[in-house]
Amino acid sequence: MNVSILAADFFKYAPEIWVGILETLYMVVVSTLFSYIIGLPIGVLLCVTDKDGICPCRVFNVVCGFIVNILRSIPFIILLVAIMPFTRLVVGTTIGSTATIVPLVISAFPFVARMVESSIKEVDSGIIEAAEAMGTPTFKIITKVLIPEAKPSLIVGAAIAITTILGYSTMAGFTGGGGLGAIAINYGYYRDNTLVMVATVVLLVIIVQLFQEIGIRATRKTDKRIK
Amino acid sequence: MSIIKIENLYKTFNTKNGDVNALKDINLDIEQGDIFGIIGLSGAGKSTLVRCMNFLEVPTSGNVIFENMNLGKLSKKELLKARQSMSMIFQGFNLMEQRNALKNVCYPLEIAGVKKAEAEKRARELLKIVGLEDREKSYPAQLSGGQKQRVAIARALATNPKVILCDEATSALDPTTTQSILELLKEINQKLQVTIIIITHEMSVIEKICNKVAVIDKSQIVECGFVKDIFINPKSEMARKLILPKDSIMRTLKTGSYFRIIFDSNFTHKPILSELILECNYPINLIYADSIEMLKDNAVGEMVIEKTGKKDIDEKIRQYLNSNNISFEEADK
Repeated sequence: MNVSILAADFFKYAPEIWVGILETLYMVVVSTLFSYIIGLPIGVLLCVTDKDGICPCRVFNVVCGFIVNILRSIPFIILLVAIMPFTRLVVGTTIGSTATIVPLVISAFPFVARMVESSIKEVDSGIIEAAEAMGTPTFKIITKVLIPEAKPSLIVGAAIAITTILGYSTMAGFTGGGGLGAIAINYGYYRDNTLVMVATVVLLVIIVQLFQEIGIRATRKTDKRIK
Repeated sequence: MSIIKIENLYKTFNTKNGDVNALKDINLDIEQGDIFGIIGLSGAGKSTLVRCMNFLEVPTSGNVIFENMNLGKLSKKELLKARQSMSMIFQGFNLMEQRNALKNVCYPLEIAGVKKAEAEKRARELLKIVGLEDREKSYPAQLSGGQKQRVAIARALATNPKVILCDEATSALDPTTTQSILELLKEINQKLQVTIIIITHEMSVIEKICNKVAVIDKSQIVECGFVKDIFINPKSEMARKLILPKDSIMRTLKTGSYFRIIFDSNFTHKPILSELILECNYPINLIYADSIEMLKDNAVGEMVIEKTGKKDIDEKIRQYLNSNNISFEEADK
């Protein structure tokens, strides 16, 4: 095939690609947000109910940890299909970007919970002991000590989570989800348009780099330990 | 008046390798205004003991009575409130890394529900007391060890505590910084009437600042009393080992007969050796002498002199020491 025809083809798809970028950002940002709304409290609970935590509760810790592990073991592409009835129940459809958010959140929040758990565990036990010695109630230890002290690490975790979710979101293209993934599959793969394929991959790489860079900069700016 | 009273306290940890008795039958009476030292080797149980005082560790049995409150009988809420009158400073400082010095000092006030502006005002006053008024914006990572401990002391003072518990507070610091931190603690004790409890394995810390000391060995208190008394006449083996490491001078002297003379502040300005020589009218050989300066204005010291070998003169030495109430011991090797 002639390169100029390919290029013309590519420009023909430019508006779709632009919409794809916006859809991808929409899915990723909203999914990350919901994953954190659910995953952050679970991560904190997993950490504080641990046997060395500030509020040990073995039963809760084991049960919650088990559920998180199960959800984390299911491959995203399987989960995507398996929970379609649930997705329809929540958003009324199983295709498009909004429909993709549901499996993305269900798949990402256990991952986020584990990331949060490990970030919070990094907080020096001496600092927690000092807070306890100053008469801090358990809930305030979480809000005033654990989360603020773990903030830089939580931000790093968020950057990792957002890129992982971005990776997942592209898979949704196979089942009628939106975004760059769908464009890569529909135009690049099914119609065999290499240029569109390459363009979407490059765009995805740029978006990942962007999120990563923002994450690193935000960490550097917040972390008061480095100076 | 006693501020902290510990009665028949036991603490047992259940570990995989069976039960470990960390504390056995501890009884202590700490009075208001004391600078009370607790000394022992690592693993003796002293850190566990200090954590039982504010119930960071819950004793297996026994009572901790703080200001007439039995801590074991308080509700969780009352206990948290009581802890605000009982601050703690640590070997590792334990400052919040993401808060600057001012915000670290504000923390206990936030917990106590003090308004932000008021808390910051108080925090600034406290940073001034510890000599860090120009570092309020610095984060812990930007401060030296001594400065961090000063911030920790300011933080400990924020809620006007009755007691400050110090868990190896100077062990991570160099000697000069240790000295300045101890002086600061002493100043706080005198100016603010705060009772200070110091856990340490370093004899020098006890010497410099404490008025009373408890010696802890193998989970038990083996000796307890005024530093001065224990210094002059340590009864337990551990006290001898810790409090008079210079005792080893007697061990290094392999042969010969000696008097070891121990004197306290009453004899600081008395020319004991010269008087002895004049009294006996006989040359006396001085083997070893040392004095330990203390912040409490007491100079305690010891001196080893060789016996003359003449019974009547040695007897004269005994008489002189006895008549002047100077403690001594004899060693014949």
